[in-house]
Amino acid sequence: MDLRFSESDLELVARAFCTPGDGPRGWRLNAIAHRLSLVDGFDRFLARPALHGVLRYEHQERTALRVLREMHGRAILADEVGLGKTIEAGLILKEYAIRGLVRCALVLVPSSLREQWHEEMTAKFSLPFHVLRSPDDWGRHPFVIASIDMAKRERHRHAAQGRTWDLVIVDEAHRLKSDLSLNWRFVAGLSKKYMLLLTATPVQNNMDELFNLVSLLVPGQLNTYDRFLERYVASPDRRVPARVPELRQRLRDVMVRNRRGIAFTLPPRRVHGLPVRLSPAERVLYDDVSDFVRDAYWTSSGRLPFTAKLTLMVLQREIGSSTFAVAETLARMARSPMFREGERERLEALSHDAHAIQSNVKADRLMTFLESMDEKVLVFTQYVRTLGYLRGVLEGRGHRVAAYHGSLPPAAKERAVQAFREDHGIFLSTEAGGEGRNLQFARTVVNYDLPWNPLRIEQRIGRVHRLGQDREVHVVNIWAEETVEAFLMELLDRKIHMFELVVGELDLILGNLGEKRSFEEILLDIWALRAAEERRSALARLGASLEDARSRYERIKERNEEILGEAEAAPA
Amino acid sequence: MTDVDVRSFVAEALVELGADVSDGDSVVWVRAPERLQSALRSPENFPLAFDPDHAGEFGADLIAPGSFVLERLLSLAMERGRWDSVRVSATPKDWVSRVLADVGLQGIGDSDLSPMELRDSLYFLFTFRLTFLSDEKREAFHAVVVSAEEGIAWPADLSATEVVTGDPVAFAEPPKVKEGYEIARAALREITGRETRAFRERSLRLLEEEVRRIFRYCDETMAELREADPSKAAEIGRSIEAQRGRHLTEALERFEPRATAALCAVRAIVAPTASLEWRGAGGRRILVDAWTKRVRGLICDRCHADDSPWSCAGGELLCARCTVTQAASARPRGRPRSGTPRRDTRIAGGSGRSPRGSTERPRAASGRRRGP
Repeated sequence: MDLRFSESDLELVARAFCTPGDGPRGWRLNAIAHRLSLVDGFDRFLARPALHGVLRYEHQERTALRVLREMHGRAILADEVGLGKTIEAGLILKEYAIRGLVRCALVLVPSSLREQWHEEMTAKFSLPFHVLRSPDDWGRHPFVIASIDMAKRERHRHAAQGRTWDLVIVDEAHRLKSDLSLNWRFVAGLSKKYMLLLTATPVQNNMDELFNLVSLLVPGQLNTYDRFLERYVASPDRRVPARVPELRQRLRDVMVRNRRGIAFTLPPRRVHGLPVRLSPAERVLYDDVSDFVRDAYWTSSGRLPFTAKLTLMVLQREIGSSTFAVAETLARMARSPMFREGERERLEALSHDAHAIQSNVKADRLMTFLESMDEKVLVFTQYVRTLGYLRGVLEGRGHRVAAYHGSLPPAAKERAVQAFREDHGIFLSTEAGGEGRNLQFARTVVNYDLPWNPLRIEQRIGRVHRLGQDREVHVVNIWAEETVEAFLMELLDRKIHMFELVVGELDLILGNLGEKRSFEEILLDIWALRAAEERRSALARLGASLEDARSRYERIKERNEEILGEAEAAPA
Repeated sequence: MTDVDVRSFVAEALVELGADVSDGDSVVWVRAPERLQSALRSPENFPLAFDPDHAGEFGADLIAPGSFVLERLLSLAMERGRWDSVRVSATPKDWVSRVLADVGLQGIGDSDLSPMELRDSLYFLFTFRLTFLSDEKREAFHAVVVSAEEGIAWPADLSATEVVTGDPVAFAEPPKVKEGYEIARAALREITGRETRAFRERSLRLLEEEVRRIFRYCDETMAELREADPSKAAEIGRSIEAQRGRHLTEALERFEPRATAALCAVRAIVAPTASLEWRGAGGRRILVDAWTKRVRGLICDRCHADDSPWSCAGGELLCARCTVTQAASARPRGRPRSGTPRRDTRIAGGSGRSPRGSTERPRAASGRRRGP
């Protein structure tokens, strides 16, 4: 390897001194600019000062440096859930990008996580990612986030495989467990320099899956398939590992697994349920709205259009939040041509009833709870109108409330967080509340209403129950009896003990459900059943599936612990 | 990125590009002229933050590695200032004896030295960016001084040389940069030779390991398939071959070592240079200039190195190493003169100070004998 000199040198040599230069300061700044932009190997993190709202954790930086220095950019990030695999992948990507080693990257994720990845990569790492929408996007954008299911389709596959990626990241990489699957073949067919596979559970069923994942990354690391079976698999069904210490030793070259007990521990969560009985007027309104939803859902015109289904879902969710949230929606629907004359009249009447209700029982229950508290509390609601109502009630009782919602300008959001940190006792927020902000100085979260998407509930709790929290966290759920939210509590709390799970585990459990519908759709489909008995049995079936999914997850977790337990980065 | 102060660079670069810069509490406010606005894609007035905690305040962009504004400013600064000239004046009057004292020759009295000539000489300072690329990237900044008249080059201490000020030189005709550049190029090759070879060896070792593993995996997998089901082996074999080809291409992409150097800028410096005859130590003609303050023409009587500092006792001129050896041992060991034939370039050794940009001393420098 000879030192090659740039061809542009001669051009500079020929031009130099033919015209006046830029003076001594220009010359000096040129030298400083070159020195400032030098890249000096992976001796230290360059990316750190460029990150926004990313707390610094030693295990994440250690992992990233190990992948950069020792694994040469090809690794399985197999941290236990909640330890920040996404952040580790972002750190590695950002380091490569700053050093000019990655100029294009592809992130393959389950479709439900596309937006979350996009938000993290743009907001925290300032990386110009684009979420794939059409086949043309492949050629237009150097940084692409795509759902693996979309990317592997015929019309996308050729474009994705036809270019060379500097880095490919696959989230939930246990979906690449079979080398016969389209997912595995699609990823294997990508040309890539560096690759990161993210999964907390590389082994789902048998040892083949581990072999397939590792071979995708570093072929031969676990030997050939036959030799792998011979050496590291003890049973004919390929579920029992053999020579585990030796296997772990081999995995250490390609896998980093941080475990909670080693990297850090999170304090426990305590869950408190505050069920309420609706006032007579609220009860009537709730039942009437539900009846309207059921009638519209089972429309005679056949399959319900997606937009109509969505509208009904919003309506049912809003009435679960507050009468104030639903009142305006009812009025707007009463004017919508989407509904027939009779339906519009019904909606008009419902809107009138909703406007007539001046207070909600849930708010009284919240007040009682807050008056028993003497520390900072985060109160979450899904709707700005509920937030407005609660703010009035709380401030009317002398509480100092920092209100936070998505439509506030950035400076006002900043002020709200600041006020809560300093002297306000209540942070009243919509879903946008404090996303990516450090609110761990508080430890109590009140779910004034419950989003039907359990991951949203988990995100709320995650605002305080995360790395950096050192006190026990309290989750307070308020819901009304005989509502969808009561259903939800039955499923999430009693069946899968969701509130005791660690952030990230719920996603894996729901992934085991084997459902194509979203959780919200499943709930609406059950709630829309006309007969109460039918609803109860459908709920029981869903509950049983969730229990199975959780047990399956527990088994997988134990299996991974048994096989990979020691394949972690150096102890903290 | 290095530890050079980013904040002061940004402020100075903005001013150089015609902006007004004022420090606020947590952000720096910039008022940019039109041309700079379009270069930075910014409005006329905008704030910049240097601390992530203040990013976004008043809409301030964060200045950090990889951030748009910093990258643009770096690139604008690198496009400018690519050549410059300066005339160095010789002060104080006794600069020659001071320089000699600095390199350890303070014992030389006036009677031992006879000035032969004092004239202005032309020097070039070439700055280079060196990049090693394989699965990682390592860069270094090197500065090389070339004496146009002597036709020799040596690594420069950039921190000392970049601050040189003086009037610009009005050349009757542009200086001959090309010859100087060729000398600097050859010098840089030699200066960075060991580092380049070490990088190449490391990368090739990794590449070899990777290639071996890929071949072993693919060959053995094919053999296993043939044994298990010979009828399907050909079909699957083709697929494994394709897979092997792709893995090999990826391995090459990742580990193939590349070393490149690019000329960043050149500075022509006219500096007083004294030519002296030193009657001591067997009589030598030495050259010294008022800019780099490097003394040329001295060679260690024992090992023939040409590095300062020196010591002179009993008519013998010794480099620092031989001085130490002499002090430590009753029988000082001499080192035979290098028999390696010189190529087209003469390269002088590094100065005694550690050059900021150059991390190595030239390997061959110590074994060289060179006359003035």
